[in-house]
Amino acid sequence: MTTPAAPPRSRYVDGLWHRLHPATPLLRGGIGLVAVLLYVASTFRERLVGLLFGLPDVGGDPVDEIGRHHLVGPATLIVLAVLLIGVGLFWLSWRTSEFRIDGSAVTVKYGVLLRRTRTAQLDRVQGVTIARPLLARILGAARVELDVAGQNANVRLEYLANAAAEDLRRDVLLLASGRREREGEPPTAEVAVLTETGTPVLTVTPGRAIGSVLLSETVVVLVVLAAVVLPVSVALGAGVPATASFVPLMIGSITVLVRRIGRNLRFAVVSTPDGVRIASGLVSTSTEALPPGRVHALRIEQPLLWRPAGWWRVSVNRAGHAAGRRNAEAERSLAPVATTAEVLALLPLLVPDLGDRRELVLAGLVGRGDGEDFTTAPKRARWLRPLAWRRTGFRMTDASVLARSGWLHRELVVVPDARMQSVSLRQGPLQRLLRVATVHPHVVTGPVNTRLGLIDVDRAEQLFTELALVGVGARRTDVSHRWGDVEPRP
Amino acid sequence: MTVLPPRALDAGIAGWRGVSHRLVWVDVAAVLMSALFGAVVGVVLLLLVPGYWLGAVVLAVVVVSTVVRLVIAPRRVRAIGWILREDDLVVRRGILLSRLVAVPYGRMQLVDVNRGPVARLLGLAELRLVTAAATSDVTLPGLPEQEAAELRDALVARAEERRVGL
Repeated sequence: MTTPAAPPRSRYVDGLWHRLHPATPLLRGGIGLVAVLLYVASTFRERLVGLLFGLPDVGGDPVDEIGRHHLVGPATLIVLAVLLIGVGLFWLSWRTSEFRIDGSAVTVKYGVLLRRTRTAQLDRVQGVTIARPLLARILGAARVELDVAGQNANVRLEYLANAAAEDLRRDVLLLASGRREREGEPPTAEVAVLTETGTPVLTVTPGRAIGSVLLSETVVVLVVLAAVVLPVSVALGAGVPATASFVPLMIGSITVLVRRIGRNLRFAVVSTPDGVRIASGLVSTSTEALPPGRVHALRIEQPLLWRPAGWWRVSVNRAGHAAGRRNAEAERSLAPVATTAEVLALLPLLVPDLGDRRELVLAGLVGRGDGEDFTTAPKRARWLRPLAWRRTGFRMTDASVLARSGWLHRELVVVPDARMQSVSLRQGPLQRLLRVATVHPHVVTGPVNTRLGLIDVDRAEQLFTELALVGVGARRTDVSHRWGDVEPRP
Repeated sequence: MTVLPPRALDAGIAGWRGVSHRLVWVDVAAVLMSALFGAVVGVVLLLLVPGYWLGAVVLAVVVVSTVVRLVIAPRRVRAIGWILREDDLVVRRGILLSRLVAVPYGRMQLVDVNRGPVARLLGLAELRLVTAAATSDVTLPGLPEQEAAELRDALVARAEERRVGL
């Protein structure tokens, strides 16, 4: 183990080079190499023995052949040499992978032949993910990933010992939050606060994990296929090809559904002083921290089938989660299924502005018309959205914009003013006829679409002006991306 | 440097600056290039597909769209306007689909100056602004090269002055 039992605080944050977990080369693909070598050795051992000792292939077991020709000594030496070289290479690879964290940046270097070094500024870190694939879990190691804005710009520390990973994450988040260890203050108090288990905000029960997946659109489509399309095609005399094509579809869909359930099981969101911590997974677990002020847009949605149960799905746009990553969609949905009460508890942690605005949020989730000062679409535009026009509306609060839409599929989008990158106002020919326009606060790419449609044109121009002003102003005063520097707002 | 008159949907902002009228020729060149491509496709269809109707339809569409685009090209260019305000750059574009974008200086990640072959002959350049949001991609074509360089320097200076985090 590279991690002696030192005091946990600042073990890594000392500007010195540290090594990774000794099993790292094995976990990063070395195990595959070993397996291939063993396979090759066991398949071609006759050939190998023949090649090494010049023995004729007489068809017997090669191990017996070695014994018969008194070659046990040389054979053992060769095996030992191969083992030594392998271990040596692993050791070399481990020796050359190092990382360093000082007050402001993290640097990783790795590679034996091709040496690579990557440095990232700590205050650009968008979040810290800890993942434990199955093998790493067995060996007590974890992969730490520092999310940095930009395509493929994440800094990976693979692998660290479990406890070290947790400590490292806490320290990095602490530094990112702009806090510094102050002189004279006992560090233990700080540690106590941070190692607290935190308050669980959201815990997905097994029933909800399974129910939410069974009530999804995919299942409905499958049921319709099984109940309608299949009997009809059998009746039309095309039973065999229809069934033949249905079986793989069914198997594929069920695999996807089971995987989704597995992801939802044991999903939990915990509130800590560092930010929000998200834990998920049954077999290979992952833990992720989302510091406050890193949510660029947030969507709370409710498919029609979830309405009786009162479940919601929460997704966020955030920098650093590059598009096109594996399981990107799953990672981006912050809470795959949450109850209304949990949403109301979670929202203030992500958008502090909505702290005690329960009625407002409820109006945004389920309300219609202009209750709670929502500005709704003008009546003349109703045939552009015949069902949803009374739900379509927006509302500005002190530090964010709320957009409400959808009648069957309810949706509420929240954009914090301080995270807006730019804002646009647009109007197509049809919109011009109806004297409405679209205002679009631009945020970083993600699953959440932040367009505010069907706004009366005069109100839209006013909103555009307000957002342009408010965005600039909010940015000046915003410190939520370095939330440790200031006293919390009263 | 022209100052544009106000129009509907400009959020009450006055003092829009227009772009060079020479940009019309860049548009015309682009329209003619796509017309040439469409005409080649139409002629090939006319020769290969029996019955002539498919090729004739394609050629008709090409002719009509080319004429329409040539006619509206000057209006399209006149509709482009920009203004440097206290804290942001506002760009407006489009006649049928009007679009107005405000980009705060502090949010600019980079500023590009591009010159296409035709634009270069006419001494024009295109300014492109990139923020962290892919959707805010703003282009401002038809700036005289000198003006484009000056605008770029001004934007970079202001962006540096007001840099903020993501």
